[in-house]
Amino acid sequence: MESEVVKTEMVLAATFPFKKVQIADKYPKGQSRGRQWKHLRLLLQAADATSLPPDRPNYLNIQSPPSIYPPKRYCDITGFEAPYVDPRTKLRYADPEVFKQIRMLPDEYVQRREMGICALESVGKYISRSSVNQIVRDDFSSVVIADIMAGDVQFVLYRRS
Amino acid sequence: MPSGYRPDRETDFAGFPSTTPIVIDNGASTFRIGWAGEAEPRVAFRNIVQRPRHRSSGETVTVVGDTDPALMKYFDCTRSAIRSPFDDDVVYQFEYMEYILDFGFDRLGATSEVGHPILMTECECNPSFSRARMSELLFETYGVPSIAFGIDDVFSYKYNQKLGNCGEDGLAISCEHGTCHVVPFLKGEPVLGACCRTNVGGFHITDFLRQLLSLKYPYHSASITWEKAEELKKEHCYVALDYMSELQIFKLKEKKKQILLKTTTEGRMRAKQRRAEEEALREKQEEERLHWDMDPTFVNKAEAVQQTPEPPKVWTLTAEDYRISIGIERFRCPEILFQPGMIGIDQAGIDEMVSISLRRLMEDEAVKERLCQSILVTGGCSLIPGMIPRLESGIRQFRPYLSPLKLVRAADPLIDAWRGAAAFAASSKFGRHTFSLADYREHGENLFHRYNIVYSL
Repeated sequence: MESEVVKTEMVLAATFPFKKVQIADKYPKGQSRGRQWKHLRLLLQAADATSLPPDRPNYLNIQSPPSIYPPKRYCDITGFEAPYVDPRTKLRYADPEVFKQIRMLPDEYVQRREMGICALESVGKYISRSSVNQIVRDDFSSVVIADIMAGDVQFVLYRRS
Repeated sequence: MPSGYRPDRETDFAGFPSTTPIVIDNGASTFRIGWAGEAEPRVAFRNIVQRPRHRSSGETVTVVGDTDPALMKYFDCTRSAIRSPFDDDVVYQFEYMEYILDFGFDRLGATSEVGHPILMTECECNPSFSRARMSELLFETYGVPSIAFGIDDVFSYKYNQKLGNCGEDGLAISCEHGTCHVVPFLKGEPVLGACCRTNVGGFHITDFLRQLLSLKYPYHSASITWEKAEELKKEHCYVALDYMSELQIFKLKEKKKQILLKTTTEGRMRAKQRRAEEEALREKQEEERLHWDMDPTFVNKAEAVQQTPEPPKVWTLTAEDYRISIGIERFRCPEILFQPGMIGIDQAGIDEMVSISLRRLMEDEAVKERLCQSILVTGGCSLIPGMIPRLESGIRQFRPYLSPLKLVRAADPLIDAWRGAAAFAASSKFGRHTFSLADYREHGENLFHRYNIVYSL
């Protein structure tokens, strides 16, 4: 392990003197762990009636009901009110300009929109964070953040080529 | 808490008598741990775990909390995402929870054993399986003598009640990391039967911002990480007082901008092209005249070999390509708290939740009116500018005409829950609300079905 990593104590020790059972004994190495956990939704489904009594407040019945307001439709690209829906991608759009833009989007960016649920593609890859260097407010009160990721983008480009 | 911040190890663990409780605010975004009766938590870090592979030795290591991104170059993170032990606001991944507790107790300075009672916060109506597994973990792995669980929003309310920000009867509106809650209070105690939860929170705002930006700038989608979006959110997002009129203003601005851009850029381009053509023509004539003077049989070679294919056009990146502008997203993202339908969550927004809670309370109008004069807004999202005025105008729509309404932001929406819990744990009545390993062995999970502490000191 590199000295700077050791110095910051960022890596969790394997054993701790204050624990009765160490993590390595609980989850032995090399043994396939499989998926030992379930999502909350499944756990709640599996929970029996005594743990979720219908007559007393429980995790499920304190949820709020649907809104009484009719849902408003917003454009998926610009965020303005959207009177139209693209029949192919099921994206909502505000005006013809946006429609052109939607049709130009590569397929992987637009997952089909089903049941009115906006499901845009989520790209998650951990790349080191850079600070916001310079902030310029333009005439239109929209904020322009300059050079926020100049360093990192180059890093990505090199890695891909 | 700055990003990449690593807490130092405390050294005075041994100095505390074994009766002093350890207070843990186990929030979905931040884990705070400290001693009962103190004013500030000793250690706070992001409630996340990463398990990357060390590049040179190949072993899998565990990293808890935020880290200096520069040091991550020694680790291979391609196959390990950032994990949280939480789903919404319930702990469900106890392996990750164990890593986080390890780190928390270690930073607090525990050496031989964690021999102190524990007060840990949880969400409203935490399912008993989650409570049971958490107590199992604390009893069996850490050898804790006794445990108490309490609701974070209630502690925050009680702390602010002590400061005089809100009264005995009132409402707490809490906008947290994964959920929003409204809890009514009568005579200083929370009425859990009337509380209300919507599964939208600060996490969703950040995620929505990230999705919108990566859709707007597909070229940068890999570098707009959740953490960067979080920073942008903290710095630039605000809540619009009236969403529709704010949209209208922006739409007009957008149009003006487009027209301006179109006329100016097109005009400039045309002028530039014309100038370039004239220049080229003049140069050519000049050259031909020159050659003509010297050799009348001259054939312009450059013109003859012009058929060679043009080199492929290379898209050169300019500073413009490394620039991101957020306009409408600034207030569009926080708006999901008021209209969860925008991200496909079919539940009421936080202003409407207040009316749902009041309806569930089944009290007469006088009581409701008293409650509405002491509304406390807490949780990380209450720090977004414009939140309080918007909430006030939203709640007013559900209340009778001219009925009184008073909203206050918590003294410190982030740490108040811990402080309230620390004050509770320091009181002499704390011991009545704890349960020990023997109690747990005797009753099992049944212990938690009716487990509710009394918050009034």
